[in-house]
Amino acid sequence: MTDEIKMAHGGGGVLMQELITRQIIPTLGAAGSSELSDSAKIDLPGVSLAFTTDSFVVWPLIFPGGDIGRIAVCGTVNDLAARGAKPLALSLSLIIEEGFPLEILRKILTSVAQAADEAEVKVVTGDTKVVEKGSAHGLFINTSGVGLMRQDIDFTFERIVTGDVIIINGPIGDHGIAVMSIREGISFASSVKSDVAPLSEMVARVIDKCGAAVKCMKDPTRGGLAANVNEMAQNVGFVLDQQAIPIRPEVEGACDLLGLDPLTVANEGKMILIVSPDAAVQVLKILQGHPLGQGAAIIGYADDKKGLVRMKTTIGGERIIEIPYGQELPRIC
Amino acid sequence: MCLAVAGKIIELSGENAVVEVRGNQINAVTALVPEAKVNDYVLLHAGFAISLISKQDHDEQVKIFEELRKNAPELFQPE
Amino acid sequence: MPPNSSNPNNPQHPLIKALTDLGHRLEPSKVKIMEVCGTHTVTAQQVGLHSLLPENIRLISGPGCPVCVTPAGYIDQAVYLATEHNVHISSYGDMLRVPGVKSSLEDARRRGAQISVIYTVNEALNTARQNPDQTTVFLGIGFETTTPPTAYALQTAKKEGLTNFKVLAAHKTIIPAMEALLTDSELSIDGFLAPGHVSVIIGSNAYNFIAEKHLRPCVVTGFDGEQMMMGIVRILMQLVENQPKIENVYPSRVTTTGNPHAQKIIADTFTPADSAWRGLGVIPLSGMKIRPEFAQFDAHQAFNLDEPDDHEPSGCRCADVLKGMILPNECPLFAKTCTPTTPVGACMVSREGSCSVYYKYAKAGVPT
Repeated sequence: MTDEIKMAHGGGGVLMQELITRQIIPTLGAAGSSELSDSAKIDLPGVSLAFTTDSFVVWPLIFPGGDIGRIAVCGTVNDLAARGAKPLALSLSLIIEEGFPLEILRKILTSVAQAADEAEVKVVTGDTKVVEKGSAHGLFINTSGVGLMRQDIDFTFERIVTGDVIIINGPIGDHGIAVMSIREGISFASSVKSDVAPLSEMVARVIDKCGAAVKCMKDPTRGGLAANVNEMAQNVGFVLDQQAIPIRPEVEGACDLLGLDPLTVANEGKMILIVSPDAAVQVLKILQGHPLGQGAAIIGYADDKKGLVRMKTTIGGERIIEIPYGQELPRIC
Repeated sequence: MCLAVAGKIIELSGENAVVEVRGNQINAVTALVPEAKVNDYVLLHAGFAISLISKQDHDEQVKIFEELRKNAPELFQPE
Repeated sequence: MPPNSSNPNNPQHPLIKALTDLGHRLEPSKVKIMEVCGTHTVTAQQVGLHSLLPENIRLISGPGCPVCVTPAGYIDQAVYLATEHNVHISSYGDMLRVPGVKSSLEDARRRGAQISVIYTVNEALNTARQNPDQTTVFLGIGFETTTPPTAYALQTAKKEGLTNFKVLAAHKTIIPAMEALLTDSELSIDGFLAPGHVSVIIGSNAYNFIAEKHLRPCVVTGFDGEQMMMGIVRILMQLVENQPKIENVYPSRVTTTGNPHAQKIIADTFTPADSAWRGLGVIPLSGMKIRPEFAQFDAHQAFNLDEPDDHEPSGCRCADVLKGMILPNECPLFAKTCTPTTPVGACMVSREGSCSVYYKYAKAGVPT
């Protein structure tokens, strides 16, 4: 490892994994956990809680389809949902740069309120700090969340077996492209809106009906499908079907334009569900009947090539899907 | 090193165009394809139109394939 | 149930069968087809093309990735300008992670250098316009597809008197490189896929020498799976019939003579010069030097820079990989000291580099 942190260390890809597994976890030692999941399980007498935290440093703060406030709530809610937990409470920490306009702060807090309302969760505690101009990019937010896990079912990658089916609730790449379209230096206008949305209720519907037929779930945020499917490929391998992966033509067009691989673009309103094959059709129907799952599709399956994620391409070839480096840059080549 | 995409010119003022690529709009310079007009399809690379694309673009690709099939049918016999 | 290739909803592409048949007909010969375009390398990887080729047909990547063939010292020059001369560097994203001799642009940016990634040279012009008190240097790399935009920027800068805009030019041309590969007695390339978008600029006639002088097939090919399969099928057919010629499966965009406006703007702004290719050495008249009329926008002149050093870290065999002489995994550093997160040579750092593409398969233990 290098002796300085790079941007890519925060990108959700290989470098971030290395930072976590080679520095953070070993240094925390006995004081930490060796689990790598998005949310942690805390067992209490008679009940289990899921606990998660996430920081939001997105720039620009406001983008088509949402803003940092909305993501701050949905990101944490979705991490809880990925563990099958019902969100109970959130904390909201604000780190505000000196000079930040109050009007924009209000707008963002309104988004927080709206998202929390949609997710049926309350913001019960928080913290506010102000830092000197230049020490934060406008506003950083951290949210932590606590959720109630299902009795007797946990959703972890260990439960995935060969033959299990991969389902996603809709088209990929919306969020990443929406944000990139208004970044400075890349002047392109797009009709693409972020998909940022709280998925706990949609997931609850699925688990209510299908229970333990759902093995593992993940929200493919940073690093996109590529990073997150790879993370689940510990005891199994995965084969994706490119033809089946839903993607909007505008997102595909933007990716072509910028030289980005849509599989590596972030999503904020998507959930990958690994499901037992005989429940797949039912899960699909439940998702498709929900407003946030209308574009749901089966996109692949698990096999025994441990740790290997492949994709069958539209021309019938096979390619390897590896964990992205961590910072996808627009290219000309 | 030739990442280029096809798009349609939806606005044009001198050499400065707005090109639409499947719902995304991007600025492009048409100095390399001065004959380009609004509603023309162009091939876009690094912010520049480098070629006009005929409207029959897709048909041309199909034509090449069919030509091959006609001239070398044995390559396409079903098993 | 897992999808399989005889699923009626997902029938096998007919060109796959054509490839298989032609491969059989050419047995026991082993055929090496070279593509010389980084985007072909990436497309092939993304559509899983290698998994569809018969055993005896091999597609190898040549020196078509501008990042891979730009001498390492060029990066150091850019870093030097940013750190010692307070210059704002504007670069295509491809260059950011390339290791120079001492440092990469990404490293320099981490240490405070002003380096921005841009999608088009027009953004660099804007940076210069909006910051008249600082010099903006644009890193002009790429082949004939990318040279016209740089030429346009130089002409625009001259028209507007934008004296704080400079170009550190390192553009190259592909034809001299193809000629050098064909005359290299150590290599045996049986056919070329010609880069579709370079060909938009230079025209398919530019490749006539490959069939006429060197008696090898060459097919101008575009950038999706079907195009590349079609290109390879046509090369194999020429080999079967022993009738090498130049063909074009991308005629909707590539003509025989190319884009005259683009060619003119290049000729008005640049002049061919000998150029060093990372790992390959100097190839005569394969580079583009800024013409004297635009000297004031030439960063080499403005900052008194010599031709950049090349530097091959010991053990690195990028040169042989670029020439298609060895496979990436035959380089002693491959997957050991040289990996995508710790790249030593350019072939590994660039997303289009042969080694970085090969690494994905090697890591997976998938035979290629």
